[in-house]
Amino acid sequence: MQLNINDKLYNIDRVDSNRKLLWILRDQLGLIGTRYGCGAGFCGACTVHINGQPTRSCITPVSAIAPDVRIRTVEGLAENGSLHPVQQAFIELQVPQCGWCMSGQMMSATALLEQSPNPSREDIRAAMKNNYCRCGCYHRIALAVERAAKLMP
Amino acid sequence: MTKTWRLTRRKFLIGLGTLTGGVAVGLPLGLPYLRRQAFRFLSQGGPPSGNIDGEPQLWFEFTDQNLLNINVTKVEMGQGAHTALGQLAAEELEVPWENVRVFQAGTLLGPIDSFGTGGSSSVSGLFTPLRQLAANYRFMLTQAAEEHLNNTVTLNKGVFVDPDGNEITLSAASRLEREWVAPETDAPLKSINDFKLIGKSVPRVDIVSKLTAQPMYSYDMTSANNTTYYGVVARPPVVGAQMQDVDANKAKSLERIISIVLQDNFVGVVAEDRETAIDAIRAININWKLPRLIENTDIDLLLDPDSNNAVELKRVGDSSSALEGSNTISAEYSTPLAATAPLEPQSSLAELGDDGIMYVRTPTQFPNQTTSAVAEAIGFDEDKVDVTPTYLGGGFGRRQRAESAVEAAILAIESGLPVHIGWTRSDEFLFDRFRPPTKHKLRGILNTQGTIEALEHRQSSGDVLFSELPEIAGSIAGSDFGATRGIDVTYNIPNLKLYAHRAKLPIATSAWRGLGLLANTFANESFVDELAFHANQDPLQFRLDHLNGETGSLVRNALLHVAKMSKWEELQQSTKEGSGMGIACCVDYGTIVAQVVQVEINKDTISVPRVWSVMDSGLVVNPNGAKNQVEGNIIWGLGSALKEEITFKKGIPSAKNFGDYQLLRIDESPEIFVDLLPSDRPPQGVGEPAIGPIPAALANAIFAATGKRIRKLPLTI
Repeated sequence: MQLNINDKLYNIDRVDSNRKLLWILRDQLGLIGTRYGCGAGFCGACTVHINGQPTRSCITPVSAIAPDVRIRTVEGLAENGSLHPVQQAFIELQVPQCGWCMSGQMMSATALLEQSPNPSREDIRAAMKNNYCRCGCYHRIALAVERAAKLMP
Repeated sequence: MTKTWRLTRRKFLIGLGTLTGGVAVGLPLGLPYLRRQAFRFLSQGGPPSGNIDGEPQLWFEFTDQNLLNINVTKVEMGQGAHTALGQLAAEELEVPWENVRVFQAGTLLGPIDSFGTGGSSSVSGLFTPLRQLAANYRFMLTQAAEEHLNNTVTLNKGVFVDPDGNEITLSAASRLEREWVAPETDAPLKSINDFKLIGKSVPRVDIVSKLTAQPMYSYDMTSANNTTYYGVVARPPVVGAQMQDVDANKAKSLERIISIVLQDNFVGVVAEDRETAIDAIRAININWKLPRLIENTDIDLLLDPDSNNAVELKRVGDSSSALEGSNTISAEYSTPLAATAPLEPQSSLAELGDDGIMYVRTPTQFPNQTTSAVAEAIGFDEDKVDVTPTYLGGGFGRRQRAESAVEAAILAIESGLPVHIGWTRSDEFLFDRFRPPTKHKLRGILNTQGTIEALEHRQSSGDVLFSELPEIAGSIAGSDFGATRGIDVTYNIPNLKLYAHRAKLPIATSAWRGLGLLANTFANESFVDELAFHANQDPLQFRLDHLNGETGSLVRNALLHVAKMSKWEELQQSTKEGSGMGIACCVDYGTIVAQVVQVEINKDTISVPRVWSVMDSGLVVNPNGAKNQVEGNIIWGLGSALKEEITFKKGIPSAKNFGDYQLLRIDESPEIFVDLLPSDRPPQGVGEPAIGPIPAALANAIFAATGKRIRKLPLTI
């Protein structure tokens, strides 16, 4: 079977079809930007986009992904050599501490901004509430998503 | 090219340089003296901070492009140590920030640190030694450049220039063939007024990588030259269970299994992928001999603040007789077990090199201890083991030990392959080394002027640092200086007694962000608020009335600043039904924190719309980084105050995943306002102190809002 990840086609061994997307991305394809936090869909560290929808890759078997589905990971955020506005804003506000949750945070933020270009603070809190940050960077995450909204083309 | 390094003098920081050696030093002096010394040192003098050996070439290297590579001993777990240490070195070496790269030293490469990373001590402890090393190196490089150009030189932005305009870069100067001799007398350090990098919020060195999917954590590591294989280790149903018999026949027939390793009380599998390895481990039948199964009540009974075995930490005046009066006010507080839960579960990559060295990449706060543990497990000499820490996806004390490093090394030796072991979230919860539970009994009495005449705090806690030390440390030091962190009282009280009781719990407890700071500050600062209420005084004014002396005036400044920032008086007057303001402060080694919390109560829901925090941590090397630490500590403190709790039932902790152990979420997070106070004092710790006051400030706010005093974490209405 094939997976379309960041507009590139990857061949996946049939034996792997029951495996979770997260581990195929990380261990098989070397796309390690998608992180593992809980394996049960609680923490959001593994968030990717499936047809634009933020999705927990740690509980998504690759067999459940139809051939025409577009997967986007954090590696697909930057385009043509320039960082995505969400990445720019997170750098500008020096958001991360340990950083392990940040790919998931940015994927949730990007999905939000693509659907709702000018979110209120409450919209941001609601959309991001299932992304844990153990270091406690929430204050900056909220500010960075607001900043990213301004940077979005 | 040859370089002769003749180092004529070395500098060592004296202190608790190594955890074991430092404590044992004073053995002949007698227990009471040592206890008091240990307590005084650790409550006032500062935490152990490691040392620095005086060989600049281990730390600093200039590339062909004249970039400065700095190899640092401290690990980066999100606290910003790599950036701040880079600032210290680059400042003295006069290198522009954009030309600085920071690398992690390993046990076989670069400088060695006999301590590790913890206690908020990386930057404060190395502030002078690392700058001094860099200044001495700069002195040596200047000499070399002057010899080479046969003229005097000045250093500007990484380049030496002589009066005729001839130039030599730091990089070229560092490669001159000559006898390099360290200066007999330390080279002068820059004055604070000349700082270009220290005190500036330069962008952190690790942030862009963390936001652009770079492989930098242990879970991301793969073998550079070979295929990486994945290991899983069988874990007991209960901590302490022993393997009886093992049947691995079914697992052997599974596809993609490379090897099954059976050792004494150890079963591991190496497979081509993680999920297969997990399936194989599940297919292995193991009979376990279970230990006695722990219940929460067992733990609770062992916590005994009134125990005769409690150690006296401090005695001022005669509080016993002062507290005999009938007006004595007493209260009991408690904090529960809590999980460390770094978001990256621990993992390690182990690979035996062609040179016979076992290379391990792992997220450890204590590389030396991890090296010893790996060497012992696989029967290697320690100099045949290289432990290089990766970036840590959170540390918080849990990464003192790196069990996965030992597990991966065993499987790598047995299979002859590079093996990566990644713990699952359940492994992290079930085999955590928890924050210990505590109980506190406080008694106090007010005099006729309405100030505190006497105070006594009897605390009982599970182990924090004693669990990481040899057994003898406990009998020497008397009290666990991790558990008692934050118990000292800064207020001016004529009669004061502090006691600590060590509860030897049948479960693994250890360091957690701030160690005992959160629990002890919760008790102290809640109780002071209770006394203020009994004295019919404003909680802020009551605190101010008890503060004098050097530290007291710093605390006073911090309290007054946070009161102004939060409009304390105005908001106290104007708060509507169900809302309230609470204040609390703490002194953590040399760092002072004062915080105000605003709370809103709606039926049984506690929400926190705003938190104001002021920190005086001496000179701040990177203010924006320090603010990020304060913000994070506020979230941690609120998580503990409102949610985090582990209980035991039939030997098993109550959480296997985040469904059973919820962290604070963004939609529960307050607006946060942080001010750092300017200070002439040298840098103090910033990674943990701001966790201290939050739970007490929140409990005090709830009291202001409802009249209900809650003395147990997590706080519930």
